[in-house]
Amino acid sequence: MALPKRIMKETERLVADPAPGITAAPHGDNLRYFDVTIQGPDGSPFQQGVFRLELFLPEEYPMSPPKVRFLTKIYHPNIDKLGRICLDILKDKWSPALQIRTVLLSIQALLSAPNPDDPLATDVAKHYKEDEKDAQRVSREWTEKYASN
Amino acid sequence: MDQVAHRGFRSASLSNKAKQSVGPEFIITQNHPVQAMDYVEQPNSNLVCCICHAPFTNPTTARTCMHTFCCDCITVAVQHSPQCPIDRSSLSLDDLSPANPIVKHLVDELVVECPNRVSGCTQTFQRQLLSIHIKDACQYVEIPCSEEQCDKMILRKDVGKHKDACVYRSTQCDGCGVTIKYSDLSNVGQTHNSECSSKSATCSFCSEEFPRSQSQTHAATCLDYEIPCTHANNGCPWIGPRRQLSDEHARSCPYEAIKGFFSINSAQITALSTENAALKQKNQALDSVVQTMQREIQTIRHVLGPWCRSDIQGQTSPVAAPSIINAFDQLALSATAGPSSSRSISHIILPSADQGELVFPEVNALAPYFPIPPENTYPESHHYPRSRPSFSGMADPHSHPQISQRALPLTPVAPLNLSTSLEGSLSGLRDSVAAVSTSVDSLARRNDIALTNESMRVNEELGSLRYAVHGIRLQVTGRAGEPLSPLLGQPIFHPPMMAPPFPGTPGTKL
Repeated sequence: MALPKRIMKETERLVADPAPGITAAPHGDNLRYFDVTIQGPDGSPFQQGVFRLELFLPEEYPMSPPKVRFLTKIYHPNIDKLGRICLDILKDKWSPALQIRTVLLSIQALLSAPNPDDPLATDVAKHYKEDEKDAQRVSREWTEKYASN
Repeated sequence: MDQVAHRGFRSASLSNKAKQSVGPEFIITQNHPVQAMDYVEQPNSNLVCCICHAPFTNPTTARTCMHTFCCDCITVAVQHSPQCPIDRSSLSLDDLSPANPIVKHLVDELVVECPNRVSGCTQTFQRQLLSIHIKDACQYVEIPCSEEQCDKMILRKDVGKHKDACVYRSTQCDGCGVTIKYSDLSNVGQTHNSECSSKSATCSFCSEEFPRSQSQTHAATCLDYEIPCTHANNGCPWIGPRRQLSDEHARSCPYEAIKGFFSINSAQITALSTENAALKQKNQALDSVVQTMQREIQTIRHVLGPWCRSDIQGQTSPVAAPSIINAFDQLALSATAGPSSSRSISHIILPSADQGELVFPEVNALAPYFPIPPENTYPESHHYPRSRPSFSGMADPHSHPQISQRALPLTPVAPLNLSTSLEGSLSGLRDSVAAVSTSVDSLARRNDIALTNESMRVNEELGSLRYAVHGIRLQVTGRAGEPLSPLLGQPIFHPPMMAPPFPGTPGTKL
């Protein structure tokens, strides 16, 4: 199936006018598969880290949300050890008016504001709830360990 | 599930409605999706659908939240999730309606590039004029060749060039001027050039050139033209140039020497074949006559049913052939052999006119089925009164002559008339039986009357006798006192006195 005009436009814009701290480049053999990097937001435990993600646009896109997963290990209450992300707009709150750029910005924002009340990695969430400072310390350690070039 | 199906149905009806309202744009979207078109200028973001990221196609507004989308985009989105893609307020297909016409005009007037830009068309025009451009103006649209047989698709700009090159184009033969397809001319089909009467042809025997229209005349006169011998149909195998036929070959041809015989022979054969044909025709006619007759005989047999006894075995004649011809032979045999053998042909019931002399054995053969002629049939009825002794004396003189005279006219039961139809014979027999029974009835009645008359007369006579006896007794008693001797000497015998009335003089009264 030919690539929809919308995906082509989005790709063009992502490459030509990327959002700050975010890069996304499609694979040459599959234009629906993107290699993504997100810089850890300033003021968060993930600062200075560059996190790699993969993003796939399913056949139904934009009626279905894109599938996004962290490839880089990250200590975050809403991201499990497999890299899966707990984010409402990637699930039931998806809207066709959203796009790749907004999804990636939302993930970037999730790094700044972890939400331990809606956890995916329960042990990390528990750690964040009980001792946020110590948890942030672990997050920084992981960022330095896994997300530094 | 039902809800989903229902939504699907409504979405289809809605999108159809929307498409009908815009008309030509629907046609465009078939071949050239408007979403895929390139706009010359970056369109105002207010005119861009958030779902397909292109200027609206059939703009449709949600009545609840007043957001506008392409008709197709929002229909599919609502089917996936019944909410507005922008503000997530709940939304159903019923809430959708065509957008304000201003929006439609704004997007229709956006300037787009021709979809055939890749092929070379550099034109730009308003989006609403796309269909007209594609249909009439765009030089880079592939259209079929106007020649019916040609199945090539040509860019509109190349139509003129193709018209001069198309092998199916019409052209004129430079010889005869007839308009024909180019493909029928020399270098393609070799068809017209080999037929055109204006083109020159060469005789393959004398190498002379002449217009093709004269080829037949030339063939009839060319001295080098190879022709067969004039006796070819009689068997001469010679074929050679016309110039040799009359002198060289005629002298050596063995058939030429006996050409007189050929003419006589062929005339005779013609006459014989004509005659043969006539005979064949006649034979066929006769065959059909025979078939017709066979059919008729079958029908007659069928009608006769049990009257037709076929193939009685163990009879005097050894052969009871079913075929009509055999039966005819048999008939002739039995006629000579006599009536005794005639049973074998009993299955031929109705004699035809030709077989008149053979009727007698046949009647004998059929005898068991038919009554005997009256002279033989009624002997008993003649004897009947006489066989009763009690009547022989008295009734016979009165009744017999009357009965016999009246009974005779009541016997029309002639020997069965075989020349009439079977139904006729049967009804005749039935009539005869009825007549016989009537006559039997009347006979019985007459007998009764005669008997009554007789007994009355006898009674009368008895009475008179009794009377006489009574008188005699009185006389006897009167003479009682007289001596018995004279009485004894004159014995009284009544029978001698009564005898006279009986022997044949009826009506005698005492």
